[in-house]
Amino acid sequence: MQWNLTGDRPIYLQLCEQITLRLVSGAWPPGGRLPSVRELAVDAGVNPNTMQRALAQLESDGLVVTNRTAGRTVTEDEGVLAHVRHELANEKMEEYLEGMATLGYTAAEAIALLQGKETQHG
Amino acid sequence: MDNTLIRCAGLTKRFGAKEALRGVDLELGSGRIVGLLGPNGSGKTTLIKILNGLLTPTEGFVLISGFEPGVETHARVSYLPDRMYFADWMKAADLVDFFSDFYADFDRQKASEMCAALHIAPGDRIKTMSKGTKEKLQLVMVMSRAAELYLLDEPIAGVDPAARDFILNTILTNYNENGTVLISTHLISDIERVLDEVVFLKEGQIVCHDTVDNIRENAGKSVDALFREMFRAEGMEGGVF
Amino acid sequence: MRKLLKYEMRAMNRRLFPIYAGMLAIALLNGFFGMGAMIQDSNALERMLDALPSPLSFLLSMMQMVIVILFFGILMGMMVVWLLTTINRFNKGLLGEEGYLMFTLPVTTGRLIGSKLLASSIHLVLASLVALLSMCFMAGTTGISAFFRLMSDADFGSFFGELARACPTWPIVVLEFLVFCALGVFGTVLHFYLAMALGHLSNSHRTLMSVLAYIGISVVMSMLTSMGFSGLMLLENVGFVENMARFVFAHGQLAGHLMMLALIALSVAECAVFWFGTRYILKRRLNLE
Repeated sequence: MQWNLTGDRPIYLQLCEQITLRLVSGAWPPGGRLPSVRELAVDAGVNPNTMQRALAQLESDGLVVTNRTAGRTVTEDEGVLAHVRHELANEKMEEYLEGMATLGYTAAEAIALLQGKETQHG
Repeated sequence: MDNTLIRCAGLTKRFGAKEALRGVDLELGSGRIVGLLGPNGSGKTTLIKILNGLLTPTEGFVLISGFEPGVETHARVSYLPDRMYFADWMKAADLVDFFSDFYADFDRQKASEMCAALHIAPGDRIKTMSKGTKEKLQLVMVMSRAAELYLLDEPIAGVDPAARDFILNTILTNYNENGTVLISTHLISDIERVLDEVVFLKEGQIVCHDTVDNIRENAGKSVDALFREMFRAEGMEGGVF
Repeated sequence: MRKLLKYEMRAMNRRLFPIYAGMLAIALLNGFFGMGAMIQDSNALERMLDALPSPLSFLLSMMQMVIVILFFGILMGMMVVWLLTTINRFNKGLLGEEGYLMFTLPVTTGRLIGSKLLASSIHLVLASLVALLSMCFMAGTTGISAFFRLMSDADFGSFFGELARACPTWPIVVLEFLVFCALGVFGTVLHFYLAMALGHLSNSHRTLMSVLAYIGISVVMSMLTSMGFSGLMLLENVGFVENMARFVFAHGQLAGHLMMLALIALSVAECAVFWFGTRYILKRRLNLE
């Protein structure tokens, strides 16, 4: 997975978002050990302190836990993960509907179109 | 404990009638990566040279870990100048010997490994290396020390994107976590992500000193964009890269 | 300090060793083909010269001349190269780009200057030895064997006995002389260093300013010397010179020692001024471009 950082918003926020994506998608499985701050920072090409700050944020959100022996791990509480995942999904749906609305579609039409797309895919 | 690593007060440097620095007050703590930003001729190199004791300030003073630039600070500071400073008759191995002879915090093994990664053989003469390789070798030497302060003067000026990534990666991977890295550059967008805080220099004065995320949060734009806005009058050419 | 000296020596060796080698090689060649062959037997040579038609003997003596001139030319050249290397090592190695490296090493300024001074002095001694050695080569194999014959024939025992009788303190004289020579070398080199450091203070035309500084220092030195002499002359009025002369006649050897010691003291003072001046500038007034 690539790190994709843009210029206009605080870097630590963007790091939070992208790590969250990895967590809820299962790319980093629940209970799994996270790479060290240094490794993550080098991988993303960012400052270790910024990465540290992002992880601290995720920790206070309950997505990662710091363990005295095992270092930093992904939370095993799948409820939290599911909750965050659901929230993100909500955001995406809102975005979709808003986007369709600007194109002049009603919510019902937008959903119908989406279903048609889905059958094409299937 | 006092966490201040660099303390400058009223730092002024004149070359004849020209003022390169005008009353710079600056405090930097430990464990950070700091960008020293400003267009060419804004006093970045002058400031770094004063921190190294290569220039004598006209007025004001600078302390590093409480010492004036001298033997004590040289043992603590690892400096990458904006030019080649090795005698070119030396071989890569001579250079490693030289550094480990003089700097107690030099990690021979690290240097050898990084040289190997760059395909620099110990017997290679510096004279026969390309400019890019020389610059990388110089960075390898500087980053192989576990220094309290790294002063890197324009480490990414005039290099291609691959080399730039190598350089930033080398810095991030190798710097001593308790140490501070001060990077001077006029190419901000390239290194913005690796910085904790930035110091803007304009005509020899500090015009802004804040953390990157604070600037992004408050200004709603990247440091690079803010920088361009600030220096637009001078016709900056930062967008080339 | 040892490490600094090691690197400094290596940097100088690189420049000077090839020249030493060249010098010795030329001397050897001369020894084989030139004078050596002719001095084989000086009587034979004379007979040969007499026997030869005059144009040819003229040519031969010309060749001898050329070889000697060539030799002294090389000797001069070697000294010039030594001087240039000394200047260059200071100017480029401290005030140029290499200075970025040297001045950020955790060593004192005094050691930086000291290592360069020592390396340079050692090379001057080496150069002198090479010159001596090449003269031996020039003399050719016969010359060398003649020299050794002379040495073995000489009655060293009586020579030193004679010497000891004439001047019982002669080892001290030799020592004083060596110290004086060493100080002379240091003074010469430090004179250049100070001139370059002074030139460095200027913001532009640093080379020109260094040359001017060198001349300036020389002028000041000679002024001081002449002032010293005229001071002595003034003392004549109070009968100083007369007393001096009487003293010298009475205690010849002691006077000699005192004289040497005074000269040494003056050299030490000169070196000290140059040294501290250079060090002060490099420490407190450094401005690398």
